[in-house]
Amino acid sequence: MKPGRTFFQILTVAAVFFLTGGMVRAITLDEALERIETHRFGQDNEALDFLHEAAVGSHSDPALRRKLNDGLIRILGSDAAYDAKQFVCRQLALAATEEHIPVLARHLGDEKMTHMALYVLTHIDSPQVDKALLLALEKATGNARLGIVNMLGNRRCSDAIEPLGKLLTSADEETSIGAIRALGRIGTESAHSQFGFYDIISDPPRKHSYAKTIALAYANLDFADRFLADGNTIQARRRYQFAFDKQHPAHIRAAGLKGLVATMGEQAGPFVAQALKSNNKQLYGMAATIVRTVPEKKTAETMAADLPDFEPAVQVLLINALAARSDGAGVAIVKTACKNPDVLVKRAALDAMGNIGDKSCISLLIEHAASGTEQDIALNSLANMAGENVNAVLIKRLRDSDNAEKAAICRALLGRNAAEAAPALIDAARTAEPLVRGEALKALHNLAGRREIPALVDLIFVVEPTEADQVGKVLAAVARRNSMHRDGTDNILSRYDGAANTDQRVALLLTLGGLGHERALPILRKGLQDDSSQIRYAAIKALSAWPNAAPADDLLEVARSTANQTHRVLALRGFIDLIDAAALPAAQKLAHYQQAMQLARKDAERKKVLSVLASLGTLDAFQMAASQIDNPSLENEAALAACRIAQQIYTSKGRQLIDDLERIAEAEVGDSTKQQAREILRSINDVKSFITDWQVSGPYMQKGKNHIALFDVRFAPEIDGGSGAQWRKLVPSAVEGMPAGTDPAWPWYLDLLKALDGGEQRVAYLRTRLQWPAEQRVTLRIGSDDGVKVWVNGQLVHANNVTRSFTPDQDSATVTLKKGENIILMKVTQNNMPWGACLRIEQPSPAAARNLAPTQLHTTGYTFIIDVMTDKVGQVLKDRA
Amino acid sequence: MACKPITRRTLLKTAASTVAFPYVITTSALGAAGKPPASERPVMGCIGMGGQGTAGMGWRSAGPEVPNTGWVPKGGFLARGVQVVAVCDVNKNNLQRAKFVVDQEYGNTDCTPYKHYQELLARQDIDTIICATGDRWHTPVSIAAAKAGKDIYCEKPVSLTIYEARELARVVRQYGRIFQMGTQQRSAREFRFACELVRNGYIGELKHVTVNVGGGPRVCNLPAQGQPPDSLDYDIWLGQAPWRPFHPQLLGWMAWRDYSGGEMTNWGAHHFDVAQWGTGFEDSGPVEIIPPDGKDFKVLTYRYPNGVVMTRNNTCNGVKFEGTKGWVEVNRGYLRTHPESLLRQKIGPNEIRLHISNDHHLDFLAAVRNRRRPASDADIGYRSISVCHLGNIAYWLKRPLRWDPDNEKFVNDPEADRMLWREMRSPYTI
Repeated sequence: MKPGRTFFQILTVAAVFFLTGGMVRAITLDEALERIETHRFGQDNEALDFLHEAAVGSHSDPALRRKLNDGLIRILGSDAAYDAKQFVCRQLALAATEEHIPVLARHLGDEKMTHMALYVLTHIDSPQVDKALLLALEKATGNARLGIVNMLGNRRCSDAIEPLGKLLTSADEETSIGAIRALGRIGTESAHSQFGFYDIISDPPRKHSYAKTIALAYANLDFADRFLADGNTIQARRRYQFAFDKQHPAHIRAAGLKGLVATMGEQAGPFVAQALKSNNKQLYGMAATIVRTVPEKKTAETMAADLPDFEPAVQVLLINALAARSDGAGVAIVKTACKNPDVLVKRAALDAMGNIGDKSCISLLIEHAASGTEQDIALNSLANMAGENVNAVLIKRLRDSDNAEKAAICRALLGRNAAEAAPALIDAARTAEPLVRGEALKALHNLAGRREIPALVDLIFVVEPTEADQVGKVLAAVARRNSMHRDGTDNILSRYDGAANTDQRVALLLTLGGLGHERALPILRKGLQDDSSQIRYAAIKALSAWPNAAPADDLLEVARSTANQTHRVLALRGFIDLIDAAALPAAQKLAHYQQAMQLARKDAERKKVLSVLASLGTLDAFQMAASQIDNPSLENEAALAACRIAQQIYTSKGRQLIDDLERIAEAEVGDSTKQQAREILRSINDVKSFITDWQVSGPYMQKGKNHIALFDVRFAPEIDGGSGAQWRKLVPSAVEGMPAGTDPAWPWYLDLLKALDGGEQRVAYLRTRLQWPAEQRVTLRIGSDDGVKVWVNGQLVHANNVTRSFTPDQDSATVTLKKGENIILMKVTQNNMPWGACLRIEQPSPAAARNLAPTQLHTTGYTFIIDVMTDKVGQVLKDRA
Repeated sequence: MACKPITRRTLLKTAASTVAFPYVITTSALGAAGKPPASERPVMGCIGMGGQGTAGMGWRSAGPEVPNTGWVPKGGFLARGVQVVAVCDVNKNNLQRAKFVVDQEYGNTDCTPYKHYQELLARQDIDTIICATGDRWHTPVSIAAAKAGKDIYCEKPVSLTIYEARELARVVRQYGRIFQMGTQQRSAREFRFACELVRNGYIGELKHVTVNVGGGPRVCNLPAQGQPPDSLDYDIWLGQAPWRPFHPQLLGWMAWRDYSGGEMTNWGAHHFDVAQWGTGFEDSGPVEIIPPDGKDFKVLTYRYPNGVVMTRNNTCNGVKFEGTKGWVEVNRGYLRTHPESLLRQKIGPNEIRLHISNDHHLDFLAAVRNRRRPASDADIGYRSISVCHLGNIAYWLKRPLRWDPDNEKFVNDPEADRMLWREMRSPYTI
């Protein structure tokens, strides 16, 4: 690419950049460089941006890169301030080459600039860097010297070995520790020899401080790792063995042990055994880690071979380590451990079987799963054991085992999701004893497929009458899962007349209820009229389980007309359940519940109505529940239902709930219900100080500007009183009456992310109008994600340009509200992820609040309602219409 | 009372003297009210006691004044049977609050506050630490902890650069420590199940992954303004970053490149991690990273060796995996699939089953106890955070990059390789 063209593009970039800021302006490379010469932190953003773009953009433009670098290095060599030189070094970190080393090197030794010089030099791959560092090392002191020492080590500079060796004995401990670390990083035999030359390692350790001793230990391990990586196994092993020496702290010894295994393999067994018997958790923990991670299966098995000789806690660690391997190492060892008298070892072994066991372990696990104290662990292992033949073995054993084992196998097959076991499970259900049949049916509930449906229908005719219902439930579940409601229904209808006795017919009817297909409704309705009380009962029960409200009227009619008390109660409860589950409008449901309440003859039935009433979440439902509070036999249930409803609607209907909630709080009902009522009353009190009804405008964005920059960009709502902005009401919540929030737990949170359909790097405005009874100083409490500005009556009263997550009351501003109408405007910026805000008005004191009358304002444009803070919630709220 | 300032040199001596005497566990730490005695509990030190660190350590009565409490397992480590004996922060206010919390928990005044983490790490009675400092301190503190024989629970992101994370993983392996990265999505059923569905082919051949996270940080050019708070040791707070004068907005450090990878590493450490988990590239990474060019690539795009494309886009909720037969979309408390029946799929014993953890803190403690790999170890952390850093580097360099995950370098691109590490400001080093 031609330089001229590239530079033109950069000019264009700059022009576009400034165009977005509201002005058209071009800047040249020379101008930018000139400005940087006198740069101070916080200034020259446009020049900084330009030069940064040039540094990045000149990647494939050598001419531009050279010109840029020349300019940057000129500034670095000048007497420009640290601020400018830091910026220059940031760009050079990307772009500097060998030729810039001399100027960079001049800054080595300077306490403040050394870091920035190193920041660049670290990226220049040249021996000249090493020379410059070594030269600077001779004179540098303090942190500058330490930085140079660190870099020499990180670069593995062989020419630095002797100079660093000299620093090993530096009187400044930090320097000597730096040299120790650097030589360890270099990691050659020559580097290591420095320790001997300066008599560091052979010194008795007590001569050194702890910090230096431990630094030597770290360096020793670095040498060892480096020797190993370079193929110098003998030296590496020596270093690891030195680390494992008893003079070192346990965790250093543990790291040494790991290295010994890496260099010696199986030959390191005695060291591992020593660790396993050490009674030191660092050492035996590392040994277990080695068993878990050593690549060779045989090595792992050899190291764990003496497992029974170790302490139980160590045995458990080793078993877990073997279990974590994926190569099946140590299966025989773990199998043996399943018989260990120590319960923890035994459990660990049985548990490990689930990870590493094979089909040879199945019998052992079945045995433990069928009886004993470790049934759950063994069963879990059977369910989790991998292997293509495991299911086949279990299916075979299902035919051959005793009943306890068969039951365990059924559970295991269920846990394994072994659908291929369904025919065998059908057989077991048909032929085995009730214990096994029950487990087989549980498994079939999940595992049977469409092919098993006829067999399951057959089963109804085979099992004991008392078990037919359970089979029917399985059948219904299988048909539902396989979307075979109609086929299953037809299959049963075709067999219904062939039923030999009432029990079978009852089971078939109940199954039809579970299937819930409309083709079964005629026979079930007919069943309501049957001579047999059992059949009528089954029909009521089947219709009560119906998936929609279609048979609700049938059940209501039974509840009205039957003389059989049991049937009446059953039908009424079924009716209530169907209405509860139906997708009907709340008002319609309420009407049905009122019907049910009228038909209810006993408190238990009325309590049933109250229990479902709580899900409605309307004021009418609340009032229906509250109307029963004075009935001593229903007061608990009525109060509970009222509280549950109030929890859903207090944000919008608070004032209409207060009387009844106060009544509940003082009633003879359960403590938890009273407490709930008090908490809702408190919430009503809390919520009412938040402004929850807002209009929204936005989102607003501007190319090239992030949320921080957008904070000060004036969009339409800030201009001319917002007359040019489009305003709309904040999306109402799905929760009835909740004005702005979308989360019932945070009804005052204005969720802009949801309201404005997500997005990043943008802003939105919120506007509301409120009527205030008298001029008053108040405090606005504001929470926002992210930054926020607030205007009251056109005056900016608060600004916080931040990036943050939301909590209420993060900011505050004291303002004077005027008597009459006040307009509050809020601007909220969005970086990313959640986006929202809240605002509440806090008055100086309850006394001040009491002096103000409650207010309410409806306007044609938008509506705002605010409650005045008082220390007595109900009094003010009740006054409001 | 004026305190003599602690220099690094006196600190070295202090650290030495700290371990010269056996640490005595006080009688009040020996167990009461049904708790196991301290000798049977993991002994923990907590480093970085801001909102996240304090919540992670545990604050049973946490209220709005402790931010981010919803992002850590409720009750933190204190509610999970650890014995916290020491806290550390360079901000005196944070430190005092943390000590108060711990002392309140145990009903004594035994918790020792430290400004210098080296002193805390030198205590031989401490087995485990939390590292919840600012991002720039995660790697230095964690490496020092590993070398001191501690097991580490480190908040994400684990590093400021790719090579920092690589070095951390190396040292953790070298010293055989347990390391859990604070990516608690690895301990949430919905993420695990989503990844199992993908890994087992229930959405067919995986083609595309969408990750919805925020963007990267910016270069800081704030002016000098005011003085650091008296409570703060500003030099340590800056740590490895180039020195610059104070400005109050620096305390929101996540916005600036010297201190953080921004939201790309903050949320990216979670969601890109899940993407790596689901694609099965936990021990590797993408091979191509393409920043948005306004033409063919509207958004940041990654390519994996198997042809899977991953984009950073706000068109999904969290992470979305799309295959030839369906898709899975997952976020916290949110899981959607197509077909919907996948939600009821059971993963069998012969299929790929991922590490089961339902509580990130307990998983860490179990790993410490059993010396096993935790849900989110240093190697996983290294590879996950590399994806985030690679994205930032592509944004910064504004050109497509090719990455060699085996050799851990860009392909024939020494200039891009310069972004893989930054020289630390001495005396801070790893």
